[in-house]
Amino acid sequence: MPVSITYFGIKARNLLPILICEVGGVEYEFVNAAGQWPEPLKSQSPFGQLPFLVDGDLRIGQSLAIARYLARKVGILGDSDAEYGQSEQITQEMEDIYMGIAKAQNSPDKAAGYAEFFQKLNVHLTNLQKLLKGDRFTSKLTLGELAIFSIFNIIADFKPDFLGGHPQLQSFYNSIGSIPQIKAFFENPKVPLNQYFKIE
Amino acid sequence: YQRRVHGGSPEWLKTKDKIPFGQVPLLEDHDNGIFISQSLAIAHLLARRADLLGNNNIEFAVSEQLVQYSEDIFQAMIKACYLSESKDEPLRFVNETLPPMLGYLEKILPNCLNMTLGQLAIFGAINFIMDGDSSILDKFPCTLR
Repeated sequence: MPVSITYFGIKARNLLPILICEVGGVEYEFVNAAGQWPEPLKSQSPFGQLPFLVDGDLRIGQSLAIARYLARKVGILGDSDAEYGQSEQITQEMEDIYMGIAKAQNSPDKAAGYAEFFQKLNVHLTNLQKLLKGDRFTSKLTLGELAIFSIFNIIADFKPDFLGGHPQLQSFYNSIGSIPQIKAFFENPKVPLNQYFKIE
Repeated sequence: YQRRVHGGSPEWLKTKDKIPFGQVPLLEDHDNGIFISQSLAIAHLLARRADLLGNNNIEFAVSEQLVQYSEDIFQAMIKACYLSESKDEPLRFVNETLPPMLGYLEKILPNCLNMTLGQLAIFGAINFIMDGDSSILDKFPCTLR
């Protein structure tokens, strides 16, 4: 039976869990919350929020919990402690960047909010680039790499050239993007990937 | 073991640039080539070594959502009690924001059988809040247990 992911039809918190399923060959179905939020879906959600995942009897909320659960099923949490630690810290860095975008999106003066975000983003990118070995963060594909790829994909929607000053990160992004399952998914996405974060 | 470095000291300023993301806490394990920051990453790595990540995928998933929710609770508390200038915010957090969050925990925690990172994370967040107000769990018996 496929796992189901319930969320709005936007890229935001959807992209990462779906890419994990695509790469790992996990069958999934996407349940679009449009027209069903807040009810009846809010009462079905473990913390009254979206996304949530259902896999048989298991029902869990919190997008990073969903991502980690799927990554564990697929076997990409990181084999050694060192790979696991690296994957985990860049996953958390992704989360910091994501919260920065959400803060900008929700600020009363969006232009100013996004300007502040881009300043902080530069620091994040510089720190991330230092952690690369060649054009990868870990020797095998891990959750952390998919997390960074997905947040870069989201940022590219509203600022296409944002990796201009960080060529190694651009190489990383291209490298993950050329993984056959990921390339195929973007050529023919099975779920709506509408852009939620916009500067104006 | 713990190594203390005081913020602002010359030793910290030298170390800061070497730390991924320039923030503490930092975990070092030179024998295994590990040098990581991000508190939740450190917690996950230590939990993996201590076998506290759950015995199967389902226990892992339940533990993970508690870890994330403990962060939500912690961040809401920090915002109300440390980042806000208003004296009403901490009270509002305890009386309005926190009870529904504890309500969700009341439903989930009874299903947790083995000790996991998730329960420790919830314990940590609540312990921190109870330093300020020890009555918050009065109406939440499962969470208190």
